[in-house]
Amino acid sequence: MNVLPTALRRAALGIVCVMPCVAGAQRGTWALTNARIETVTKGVIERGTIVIRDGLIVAVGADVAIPADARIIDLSQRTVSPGLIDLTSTLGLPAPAADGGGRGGGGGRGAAGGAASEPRFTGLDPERVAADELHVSPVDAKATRDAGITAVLVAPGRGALRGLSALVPMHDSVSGTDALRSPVAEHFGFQGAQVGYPQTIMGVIAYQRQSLHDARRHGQVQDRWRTNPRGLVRPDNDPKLQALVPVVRGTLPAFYEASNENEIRRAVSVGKEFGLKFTIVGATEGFKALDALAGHPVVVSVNFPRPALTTGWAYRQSMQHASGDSAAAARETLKAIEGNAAALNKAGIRFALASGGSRPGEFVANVRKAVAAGLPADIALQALTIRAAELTGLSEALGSIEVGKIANLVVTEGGGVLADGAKVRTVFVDGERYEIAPSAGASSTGEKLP
Amino acid sequence: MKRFQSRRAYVAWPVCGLALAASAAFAQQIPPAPQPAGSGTAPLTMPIPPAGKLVAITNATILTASHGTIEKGTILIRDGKIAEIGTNVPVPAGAVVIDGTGKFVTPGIIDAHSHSSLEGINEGTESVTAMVDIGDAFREDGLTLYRQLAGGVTAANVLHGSANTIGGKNLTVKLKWGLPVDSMRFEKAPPGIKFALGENVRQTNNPAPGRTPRYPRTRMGVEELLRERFTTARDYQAEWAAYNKARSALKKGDAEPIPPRKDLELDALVEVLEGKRLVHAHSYRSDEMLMLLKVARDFGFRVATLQHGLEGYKIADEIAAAGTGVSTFADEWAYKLEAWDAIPFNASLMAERGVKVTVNSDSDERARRLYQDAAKMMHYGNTSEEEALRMITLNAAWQLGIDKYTGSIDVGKDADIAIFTAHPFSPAARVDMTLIDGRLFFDRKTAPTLAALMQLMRRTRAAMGNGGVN
Amino acid sequence: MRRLLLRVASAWAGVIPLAAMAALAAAGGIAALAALAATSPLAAQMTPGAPKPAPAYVIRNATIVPVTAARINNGNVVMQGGRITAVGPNAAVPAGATVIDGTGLFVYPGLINSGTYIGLDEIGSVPGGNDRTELGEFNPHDVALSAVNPHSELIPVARYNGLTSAITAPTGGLISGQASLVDLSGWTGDEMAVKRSAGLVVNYPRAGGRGGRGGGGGRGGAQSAEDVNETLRHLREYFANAKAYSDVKAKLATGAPGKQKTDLAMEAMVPVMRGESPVIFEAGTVAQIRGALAFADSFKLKPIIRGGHEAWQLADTLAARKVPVIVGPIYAAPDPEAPYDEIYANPGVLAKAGVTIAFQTGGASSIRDLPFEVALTVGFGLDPDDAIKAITINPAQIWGVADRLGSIETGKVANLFVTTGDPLDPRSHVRYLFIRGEQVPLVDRHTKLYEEFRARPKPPKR
Repeated sequence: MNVLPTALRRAALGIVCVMPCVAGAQRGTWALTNARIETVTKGVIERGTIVIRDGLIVAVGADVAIPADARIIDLSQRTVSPGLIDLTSTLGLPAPAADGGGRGGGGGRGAAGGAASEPRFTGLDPERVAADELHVSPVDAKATRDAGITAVLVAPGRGALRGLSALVPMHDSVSGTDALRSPVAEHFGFQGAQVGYPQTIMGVIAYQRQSLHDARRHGQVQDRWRTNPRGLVRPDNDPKLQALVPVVRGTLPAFYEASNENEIRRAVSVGKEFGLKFTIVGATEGFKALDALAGHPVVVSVNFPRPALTTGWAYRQSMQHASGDSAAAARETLKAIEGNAAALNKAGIRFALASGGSRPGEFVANVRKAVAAGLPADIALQALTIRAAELTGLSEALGSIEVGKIANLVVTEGGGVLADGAKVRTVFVDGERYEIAPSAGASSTGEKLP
Repeated sequence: MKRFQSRRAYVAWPVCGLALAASAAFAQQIPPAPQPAGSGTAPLTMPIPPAGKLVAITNATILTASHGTIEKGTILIRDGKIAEIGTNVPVPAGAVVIDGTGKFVTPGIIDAHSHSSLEGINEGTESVTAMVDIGDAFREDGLTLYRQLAGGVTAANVLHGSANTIGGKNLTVKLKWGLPVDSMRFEKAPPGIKFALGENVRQTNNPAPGRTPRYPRTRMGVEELLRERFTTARDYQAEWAAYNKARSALKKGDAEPIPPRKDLELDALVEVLEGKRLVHAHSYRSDEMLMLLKVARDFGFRVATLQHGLEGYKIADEIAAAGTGVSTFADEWAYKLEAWDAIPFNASLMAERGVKVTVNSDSDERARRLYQDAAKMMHYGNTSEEEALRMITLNAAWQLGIDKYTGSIDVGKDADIAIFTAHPFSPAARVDMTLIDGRLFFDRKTAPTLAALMQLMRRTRAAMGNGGVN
Repeated sequence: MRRLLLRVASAWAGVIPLAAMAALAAAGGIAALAALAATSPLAAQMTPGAPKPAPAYVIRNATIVPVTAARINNGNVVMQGGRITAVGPNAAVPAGATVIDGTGLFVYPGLINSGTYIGLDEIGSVPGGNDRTELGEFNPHDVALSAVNPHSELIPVARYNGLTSAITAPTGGLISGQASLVDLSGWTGDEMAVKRSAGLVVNYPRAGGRGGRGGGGGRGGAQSAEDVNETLRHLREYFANAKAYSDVKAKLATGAPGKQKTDLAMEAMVPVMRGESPVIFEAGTVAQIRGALAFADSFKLKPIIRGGHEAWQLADTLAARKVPVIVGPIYAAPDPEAPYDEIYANPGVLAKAGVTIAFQTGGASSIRDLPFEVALTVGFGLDPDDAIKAITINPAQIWGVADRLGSIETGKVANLFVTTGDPLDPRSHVRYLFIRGEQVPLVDRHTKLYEEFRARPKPPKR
C-alpha cells in the first residue's frame, strides 16, 4: 500500500522535474491568498488562504498566518476547489493488442514485432496489477490535469476479470510506483476473453461466478494449509485465484463496470450472491435500475450513450409511428440520460461521477449537463472529489480542502470548477504547482514572490 | 416531393400536434398506465397497461385448446386469471368489456423454441457449457418481442443456441415487453437446459476459421462426451453427498471438512440427473435422437423435448414411450443434409402415435405467424383443429412444465389470450389483441401499423399542402 | 408416333417462344428440336415405351374459378392435347376421357411463383448441389434454365400445394443472369421451359448501414452511400456499353458498313436494351425502387420491381407507370424502423392503388408455401380475389404468357388443380393437379416418407 505522496519522495531524491516539463511544475511552500475556497466538506470560504507545505495542506481558513517561507499567490477573483478525481481511466496502460494476438502485425504499444504469441492478458486477468505496467506520458497527464483532474484510477478497460487498479496523481510522467494507492479494487466487466471461453455475456457471468466460488474455496484451503496442513492436499498457488481471495472475502472492493439496465442488474446480482464489497461503475442507465442500485455505491459515468443505444429505444422508436413525433422520443431519451445522476441522487443513492472514458474537457462539460438536468451543483462537486476519494479508501488524504490532506487543488477563474464558463488556471498536484497556459490573451495569475 | 424521399426521412419530420386519431375506444376505457412510484426519477417507463381487475371478453368464438370451441361465449378475467368461461356468464358491473362479436379467441401462443432478444446466443467456445444461463443474455426490449405479441405470442422458451453438445440453461418468459427482464421471467416454470446433437455440434457447416477443430467431430463423439459428462456429474453428486453426510455427522471439536469444489457446470448436470432441470435437445436424425434417449435412460433422466426432431416421425413410438415431447418446424426441410428427410407430416404423424408435439419458430420472423404454422398441421397429415391449436399452446405449456398455469382457456389459468379477427387458421386471420395476465400488451387499434403511418402521412401532406406521397 | 410427335409439337409451339426456339436451334440444332418433341414424362411413366393418344380429362361438377371470369358452379373443365378445350356447366365430355368427379371441389388455374431458384439448389448446406450464383458481377448471358436440374427432389414437393409454374433465377452479383419461367414438370430442362429467358435479374444496390461491399456474394446487404454510387457507376457503364453494342448491331442489320465482334454477354443484353425483355430489378426500399425506375428510364428498359417491401410509398407512381411489382417473400421480417405489419400490408396497398402485383417466395425447398405466404397478406388488406390473381393471371401477364397461362379458359395450356377449398387456406387439400393437360400425381419425397413410416409396425417392446 503506497500512500507516500510523490512530491515527498521526489524531494528526497532531489528530483524536481524528471521529464520535459510541459507546464513547468513548481514545488515549494505556497500561500494561496484572497481565494474563494470550496472546501467541499466544510463549506465555502468566501475569501481565505490555503497554506501548502511538503505537498500537504497545512492551513486553511479566512484568517490564516502566512509562514515566512511561503511564496504568496494572490488568488483574488479565483476559486480553489479540491482537485477532481476520475475513477474510470485507462491512462498509461499499454493499448490492448488490436487482435487476438494471433496475427502479429503492428498491434499495440510494447507489442514488439515478435511472432504470433499468446496475448499476455486476455481479459481474464484478476492478478493483473495496473501499477506494474502503467506509465502516463507528460502529454496525457497535462491534458487530464488541465481539466482540473488531479488523480485518476487506472484499470484495464476491457475483460471479465480485468485486474487491480491504481490511483495515481496527475504529475508529468507518472509510473505505477507513484501510485497513491494500489490496489484499489479488482475490476469486473462484461467483455469476454480474447480467445476461447468465455465469449458471451452469459459466459462471462458464469466465468466470474465460478472464479469467485473457486476463490472462496481456495481461501479456505489455504487457511487450513497454514494452520493445519496434515492430511490436506497442498493447494496450488494459482495467482488468479489468489488475487480473488480478498475480493470474495469482501476485503478488497470489486469495481463492476455495468452500463445499461440489464448489465447493472446482473452485476448487482453477482455482487450480492457472493457478498462482495462492490461498486457499480458506469451505470449510464442507472435511472432504470434505481431499485437494484439502492444501498450500493456507484461510479456514474457522464459519457452519455446515444439515445438509440439505450434500453427500450426500440419500443419508443416503433411507437413513434402512432404518435407522429419521433424527435420527441429522442429528446425525452436524451433528457433521461443526462438526468441520470440527478435521478440517482433523488433516490438517495451515493455516487461518484466519472468520465467514463470521455476526453477530459468533455468530462467536465458533461458534468455541467448533468447539473443542468437537475443534479445539485454541490452534490456534483462532492461526487467528483470527496465521494470519489471515499470509494478509493483515501478520503483521509484526498477529496476536500482540509488541513492534513494532500494539496491537490484546482484554481479556476469565472467561478468554481463546475461553473459555466469557468476556466482552470492553476492546478496543484501533491503541492506541485502547474500553471495552465491561458488559451488566448488571458492574464496570468498575480503571483508575488516573497 | 423530395421531402418524402424515404420513410426514414419522413418520420424524422416533426409533426407535433398531429396525434393520431386512432386512439381506440378500448384504450380509453382502460385508464392510462400508472407511473411507478417516484415517476419523476423514472423517465422512459414503457407505457405498459395496468392489470384490469375485471375484464370481460364477450360474445366471441372461444377456441379453448382443452375442451373444444364455445360459440358466442364470454371469458371473465379477474386479477389476471380466467375466472369464468361460458355462454351464460354475466358481466359484472365495472368490468372492462372487450366486444368479441365476430372475433376468435385462443389461448396465447407459446413458442417452444426461441432465441429472441438475446445478446449472444451461443457460448460456442466449449462443447459443454452447462454453467451458462441464457437468462443472463436476455433483453426485455427486443423489438421482435413486440412483433411477436402482434402475432399472438404470449410466452416463449428462450434457448441457448445449438453449437454445443450441452449448451446453456434456458429461460421461460412471458412476453411482457417493456417490463424489466425479471418481470418477464416465468417464475413458476421449471428450469431447463439446451442440448444439441448432429451437424451443428460437430461444426460441420460452420467450422471456426483458423481454429483447431473442436471435439467432438462425429455423432460417436457426441455420445461419448454426453456419457463422460454425466459420469463425472454422478461422481460429483456422490462427492457432495459424502461431504454433506460427513458434515452432518460432525462432532463437537471436529475440524470442519473442506467442501468439494463447487462446479457450476456439474451442478446443472446433477439437476438434470435429479429430474429438476428439463432437457431440451436440438436433434434432427432419428438415430441421434434414439442415442440420446438411450443415454438418458442409462442415466435415469427423462428428455423433456427433442427440439426440431425432424425425423421424429421415423421413431414416434420410441419417443412416445420415453414420455418425451417433440417441438418441430411445420414444414422446413432441405436446408442441410440432416434436414433432407424432414417432412411436413412429421408433427401429425408423431401426434397420431401419442407424442406431445409442438410447432415452434426458432426465428423472430416465424414466431409472428405460428398460428399459420399450426394450421399447416391440418393441411399436412390431417391433424384435428384442436390438436393443431394445442401444438402452439397447451402442448408447449406441457413441454415447458407450465401447463398448470397457461396454454389453454380454462378457469384458474393465467389470462394469456390472443384475439383474432377471423379463425386463426383462415387466410383472413389477424391478431387484434394480445393479453398477458389479463393485461393488454398488443392492441391493433393503437399499434403503429402501416395503415396508421399512411394516415399520418396523408394528414401531414394535407397540412403542408403537398401534392402527394409519391 | 408420328401423330403424337406432331401433336406434341403443336401443343408446344405456343409454349416455347420463337426466340427460344431459335436459340435452341442455334445451340443444338436437330437434337434440341428432338428433345422438344419428346413425350412428356408422366405419360411415359404410365405406359413406358408405348406411344399413346394424348390424354383427355374432364373434371365434372366442380366449382370452377377461372380467375378472369366469374366463378362457375357445377361446371366441367375439359382438357385434351395439353390444352383446356372446354369450360362451363354444359361442356361436352369427349369419348374416352378420364372423368374426375369434382363434386364439392374447386378448380383453380395452376399457381405461379414469380421468384425462386428451384432446380438450381438441392440441399442448402451441400455445396455440390448449388448452381445459384456465378462468379463475378455481370453475368447477363447466364440463363437459369441451363442449370435447372429437372429431377430435383424439390420439384414434386413444390407442386403439392397447387404450383404448376415458377420463375427460377440465378442470384448474386450485380447482373445475376436471366430468369427462366418453367412448368414444374418435364424430363429435361427444355421440356420444362415456358420461357427460357423471362427477364434479366439486376440487383439494385441498397444504401444504408456502414458500407463494406458485401464481397462477391449476394447483394442483399446494405452499402454505404459512396459504395452505392460506385456500384451504380459500374452498372450504368455496363448498360451504356450494352446500349452501344445494341445500336451498332441494329445499324449493321440495316446493311450499314462496318463490323462487330460478337460478345456473348452483350448479345444477351440486346433484347433487354431493345425493351423486348424485361429487367427484374431486385429493389426493396423506396430509394432502390426510385433508383431502379430512373435507371430504367435512362436506358428505356422494361422494368419489373422485385421485393418492393416499401413499394407502398410509391403505389400511385407504380400504378400510373404500369410497372409491375413482384412482392415477397412474405415470410420475412420488416426493417427495424418499419411498422410491424409492413410486409403483410404492402401487397394490399399496392393492389388497391392499381399496381399489378405478383408474389415470390424466393428459395427452392419451400416454394410450395406460395399460397400460404399470400394468405398472410389477406388478413392485412389484400382482397382475396386480387390475392388469387396475383399468383395466377397477374404473373402470366407480367411474364408475357397470359395467352397460355394464368386462367381457366378454352385454348389455354391446361395447368390447373382441383382442391377442397380456398387454396390460400391451409386447411384445404389439393386433390388433383394437371400440368400441360397431364395429370401429375401428388407424390413426392415427403408423401413417400410419410406413407413409408406411417406404415411402420410398432417396434418390439424392449
